[in-house]
Amino acid sequence: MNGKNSPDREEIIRRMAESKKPLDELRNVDLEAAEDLERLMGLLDDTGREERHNMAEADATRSAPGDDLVDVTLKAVRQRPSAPRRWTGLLVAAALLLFAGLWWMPSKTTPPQNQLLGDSELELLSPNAASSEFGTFEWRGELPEGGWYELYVYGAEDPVTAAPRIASPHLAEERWQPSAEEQALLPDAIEWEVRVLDRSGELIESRRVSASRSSP
Amino acid sequence: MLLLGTMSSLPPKDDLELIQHAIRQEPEAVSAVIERLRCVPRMLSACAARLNNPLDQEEQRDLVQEILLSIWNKLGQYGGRARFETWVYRFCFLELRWHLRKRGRLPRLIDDLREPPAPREAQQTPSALDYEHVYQALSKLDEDEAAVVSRKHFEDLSFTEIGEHLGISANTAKTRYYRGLLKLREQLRSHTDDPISEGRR
Repeated sequence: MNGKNSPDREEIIRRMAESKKPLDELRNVDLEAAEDLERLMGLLDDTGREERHNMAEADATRSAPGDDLVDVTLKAVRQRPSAPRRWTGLLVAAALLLFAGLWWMPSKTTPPQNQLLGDSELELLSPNAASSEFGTFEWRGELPEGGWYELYVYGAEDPVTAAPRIASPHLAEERWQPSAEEQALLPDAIEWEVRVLDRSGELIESRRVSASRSSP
Repeated sequence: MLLLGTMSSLPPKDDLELIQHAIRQEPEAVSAVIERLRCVPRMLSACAARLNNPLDQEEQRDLVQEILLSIWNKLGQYGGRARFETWVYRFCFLELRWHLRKRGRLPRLIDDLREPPAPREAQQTPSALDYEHVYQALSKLDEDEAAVVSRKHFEDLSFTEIGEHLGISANTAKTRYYRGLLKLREQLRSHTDDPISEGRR
């Protein structure tokens, strides 16, 4: 069968929908596709059965490891997105004061923005102020043993307490490529943040930059 | 199906509305969502049990925490295609799979482990890896097609019932269903050489 929405494909879909034996309709046109669909239906049934089984098991279970972590974890994460922003405000103000008083000093004495503590190994590379797209996020940093990176992307105009538009899974590498669907969730002006966490999930370092892309 | 805590008496009529309120940090909605997320530890346990419990208790607790954080940070991606608990379950399933793969421990389903399947049965028993392909491929379908395919296979509804749920005719439901299936076929074929045949091994 050719083309995603070619007239003959749509015609066969229509005939399948109207037929009492839809797979036979497809077999007349494309035997391989009909056999694939038959197996796919079985796989979908199996997946659905597995899902219903597991959800019923979960429903029947009184307790499980980690029950006590729900409140603690979500209370912490509800506070976490705003914490870096408070620090950001203070650090930006401190940076501005330093610039005002010491504008002739070399730039390396100015504390980097959006840094929580200490010297930063974390450098956000791309996308930056003028990128063409948000297909790849890259940075340079140093992970503690057993630690991981997390990446969050916010709309630049979003309220301070807004949840991120997209977020990465835990990452060991210094690169993340969101899916096309995730990229579609992003406005043209964003702020993206990389966090470094240790093996226990404690935040070690965080860095955030703005980026914008040219509209298609 | 799931009786998970109590819902608050909020204005939101459905799960999508509740989540959108929670994303806007409305306190009652946030509390209601946290209540609904109490299912995560039990869902993870159920998924792990099907894989012959590959996690020790400490590992399971760590994974619960990771899953909760991941779900919370990705609430904006909940599109209301399925019940919130179903979306949460798929999160738990995929995160468990990802966790086990990172550690090089990806056992087959417990049914496969209890007794060696006969060759014919082996062809018909899918591995959990293929469920993962199915979820990923479903997430890439158009919303109207995914809605029909999910209801047909995951909720075991007839096309008439699906039509009533979605406010469409049974024939429209069937059209979307077959269109969705053909797209799924293409996605799954592009994922591996022939995952559809392998999925039924």
